[in-house]
Amino acid sequence: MATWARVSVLAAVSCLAAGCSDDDLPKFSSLDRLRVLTLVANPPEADPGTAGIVLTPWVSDAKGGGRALTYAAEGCLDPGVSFGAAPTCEGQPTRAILAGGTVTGLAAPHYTGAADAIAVTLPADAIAFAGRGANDRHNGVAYLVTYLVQAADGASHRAFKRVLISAPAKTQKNQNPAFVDILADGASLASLPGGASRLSAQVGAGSAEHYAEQSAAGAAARIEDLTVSWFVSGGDLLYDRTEADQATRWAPPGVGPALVVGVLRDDRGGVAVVAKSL
Amino acid sequence: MRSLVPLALAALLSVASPAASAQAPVPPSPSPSPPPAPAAAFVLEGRLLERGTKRPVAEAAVFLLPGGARAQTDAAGRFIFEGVLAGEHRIVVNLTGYRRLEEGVAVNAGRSGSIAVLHVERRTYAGLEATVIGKAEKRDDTTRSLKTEQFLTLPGAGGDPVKAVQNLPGVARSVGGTSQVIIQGSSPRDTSYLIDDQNVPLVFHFGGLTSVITPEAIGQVDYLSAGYGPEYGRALGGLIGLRTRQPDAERVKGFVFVDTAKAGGLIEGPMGGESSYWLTGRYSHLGLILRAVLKDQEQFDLTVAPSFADAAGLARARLSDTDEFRVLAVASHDQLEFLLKAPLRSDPAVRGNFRNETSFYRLIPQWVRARPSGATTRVSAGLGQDFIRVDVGGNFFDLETWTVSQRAEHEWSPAPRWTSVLGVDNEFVHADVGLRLPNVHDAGGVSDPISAGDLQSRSARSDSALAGAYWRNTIKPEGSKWTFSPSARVDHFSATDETIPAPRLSARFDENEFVHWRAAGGLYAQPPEPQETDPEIGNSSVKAPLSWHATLGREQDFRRGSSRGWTLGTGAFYRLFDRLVIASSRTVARDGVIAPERYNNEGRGDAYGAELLLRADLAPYAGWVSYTLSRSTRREPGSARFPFEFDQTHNLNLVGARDFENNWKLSARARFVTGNPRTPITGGVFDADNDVYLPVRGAFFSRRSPPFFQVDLRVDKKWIHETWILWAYLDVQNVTNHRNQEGVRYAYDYSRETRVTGLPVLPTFGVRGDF
Repeated sequence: MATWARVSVLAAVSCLAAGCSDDDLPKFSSLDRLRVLTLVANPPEADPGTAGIVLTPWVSDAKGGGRALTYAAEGCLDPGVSFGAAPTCEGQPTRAILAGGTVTGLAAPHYTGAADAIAVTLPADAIAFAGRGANDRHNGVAYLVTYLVQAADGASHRAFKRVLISAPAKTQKNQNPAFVDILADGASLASLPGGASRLSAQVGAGSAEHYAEQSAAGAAARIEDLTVSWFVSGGDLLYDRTEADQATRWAPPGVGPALVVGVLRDDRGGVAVVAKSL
Repeated sequence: MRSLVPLALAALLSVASPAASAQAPVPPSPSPSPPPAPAAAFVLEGRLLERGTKRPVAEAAVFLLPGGARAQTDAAGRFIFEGVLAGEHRIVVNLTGYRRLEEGVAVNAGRSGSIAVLHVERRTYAGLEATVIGKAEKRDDTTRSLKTEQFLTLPGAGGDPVKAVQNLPGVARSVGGTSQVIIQGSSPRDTSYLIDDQNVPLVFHFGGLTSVITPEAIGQVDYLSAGYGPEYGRALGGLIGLRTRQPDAERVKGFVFVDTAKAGGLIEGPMGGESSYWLTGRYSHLGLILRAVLKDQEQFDLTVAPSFADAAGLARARLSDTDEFRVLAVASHDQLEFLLKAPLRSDPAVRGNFRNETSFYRLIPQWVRARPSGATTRVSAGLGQDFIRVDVGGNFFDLETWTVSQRAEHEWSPAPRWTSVLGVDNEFVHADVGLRLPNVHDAGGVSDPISAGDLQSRSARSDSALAGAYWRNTIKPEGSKWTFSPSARVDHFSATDETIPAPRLSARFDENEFVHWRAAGGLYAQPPEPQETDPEIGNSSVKAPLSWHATLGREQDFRRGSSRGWTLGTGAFYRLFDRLVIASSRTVARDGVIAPERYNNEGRGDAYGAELLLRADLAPYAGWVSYTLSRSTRREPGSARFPFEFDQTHNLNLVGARDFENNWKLSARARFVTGNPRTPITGGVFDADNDVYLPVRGAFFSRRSPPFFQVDLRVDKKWIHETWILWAYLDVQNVTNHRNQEGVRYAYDYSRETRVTGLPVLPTFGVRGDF
């Protein structure tokens, strides 16, 4: 906890000192390189042994000019990434090759969008829950899916996602939130705005789910906290991330085409994406 | 001002002695004209005080001209001349260390019973115009101490006693805005901070801004490094001990001050008999400035400006010829709150309201009985509470503790050349802790984003006891140049359920009166951090880390009895660290269930180095050179030995000062320090759940930041008035505007990095009035 407090205070103080800016470093919201914007699992939480979970990578190679990309996906039980283990399935006994090949589905002019879907089958109860206590079974054991996308020139990007495996007795499993639309100054974003606009997310009712978290102290009632990550192909964005009910300000480029992508996340692995080509 | 003094003296002089006038012999008459009236003789009384401080100047010779009559001042500075003839006279005072005083005085019939006051001005005024009572206590040859007048005007340290310690050998330069004292290759967490021998939870406001107690209330700061004595423990690195000074028991005095960051004051005086007190307090106005500068920010609102306040008070009573009682109260409060208008770009878990509030107080009663036989008993306690609250969005850490610490020791001589000290050093802490926060993985000095950690919630009450007992012996065989101190300490840590005996041994060899050798060593143990042994968020199997120390040193005093000259201290140290607590990413089976190990004791390491401290006292010049050459490494399972995060091969500090006429003082400090090692980051892996990138670390601490270089200057000027002193200073840090690297900021995906540099030229201005 001392580390947490130190990191928090240092982050806050450095934010204050530097005006929270990143100087001339690449901006998180700029679609200017090969990267994975998110990995969407549907559903994000399931029973042990569940097959047919669909994992959709959202890939952007906006400056790639349509170059060929390949990908590789693997799965394994989480080796303990949040405690410092490397986010890889190499050397893990539950490692499985999930998919691989050439990336399709990225079209001009932005070469950004949903790439080839990957089918995931979760390990059975005896494997997923071996040695696990009741709290882990309820809260979920993470199944790690790693995704590597790379171009022929050596550019690459690694990403991973956890699909939660929870006990069948837990009937209310997490669902992806509903991202209905991207709004510009309160109306659906349909064309390139003429000037700076307030971008916000229209989120479906019930997207912020109530759930129970179990620990040694007992069950605690929680509600999901929804955030939106914003990506643009051009222009200036004030906030890269916002709370779901908050707006950011976008000064769009003078001329199109332009792309705006919003990624809505709950804080349990649920994700939804809306992209607007303008 | 001075020209008015004769008039004032004339008005205030005591002039009376009619009987003496009447009985004066009548001189022979030179002519038949009426004889002149006999010359009247008067009594001339006065007081001699030090200009500015109003301190009585005792045992000083005061001359009356013409005639050369001489009077001696008493303890209150009073003097008296009898049989003074009417007329114009001059009073002359010529004392070592003071400017010559010569004042005219007109003696004539008139008033009686008044006392003239003369103010004699010192040639130089030290940093603190206070009475320092008592001698520095230094049992341990490994202890280095700075007195108030040494740290108060040190450039770059802002008068701070703990920051001043960082100019001594063996202390690494802290980075990133903190001022933690890092001792001889140890970790910052291996340093313990004491005020009047009682442990305090923190010594700095906001981690490094300034100490939590007014510097002028500190009489001495002690720095204990490798091989420190058995009286202290629970610190692998060493200790910083602040010793409050005795209040002035003779008169009420004090000061008020204001500088660019804070304002405050101190008052002290007698309470009757031999009792006395001081009270002090400070308040920071830095937040007001920041709020003005940082308003209308798009990224955050500074809802509560960063502010701190502290207060302290001490009462001292002489109970009898043998007994003295002191009680010290210390309180400190820090607060900062702001609202992030959007999640932080680098770490979206850092969003919403940020609040940090830290407070503590201690009540420290102390009792000393010094018997005529030489036996001395000391008992003290520390009673208080600590409060820490950190909120970041929906995450929080809330800690409230009650602490009772207690020390007692008895010192006596079992035999003519043998002194023994037997003591106990205990601490009991009751803590209420509530937290909801992610575990943050930190390896190679690089932290994963907070967002990537698993949220953990904990609400617990815990009790922990730290019990210690020690026995120091000092044996000096008759006729021998050797002094031996075979000693031992035993510590019990309830959190790890360990009792650890720790032998300590030191020896001193007096080559001659001016050259001394010293050697010391022993075993040192330190309790793990509370979260490391917590059964839910830590590992209850974690044990106390250990360190073996060995040190050898030589002190030479080239002054050879003079007050001017050089002293040279050289030394070497070695530390072997064992059972260091490190973070673990492994899983283990606990009660048949797989659980993250979180921490273990598999860290190892060592540190060694050589030190030099060359001091010069060549009035009006003074200064010192401190240099440390050191190497500190660590080992963890699965990795090769790597440099420790705070390993600094070369650490050179040059400090110099010169006193000028009219109470001007110019001082400077120059520092050159090898850059800290750092772990390169070779890339990032996108965590799609938490929307952050995890750093991919290269070989631990395989690169170094550029060397640190900084020059600080300070100018002090005092205006000495009769009854008060005005003091102004300008302290300019980094006068060469050297862009020192203090850290690295990374792109969101770790694909690029940029340097974070430290302070630019930073002037600080302050004024103070002593009355």
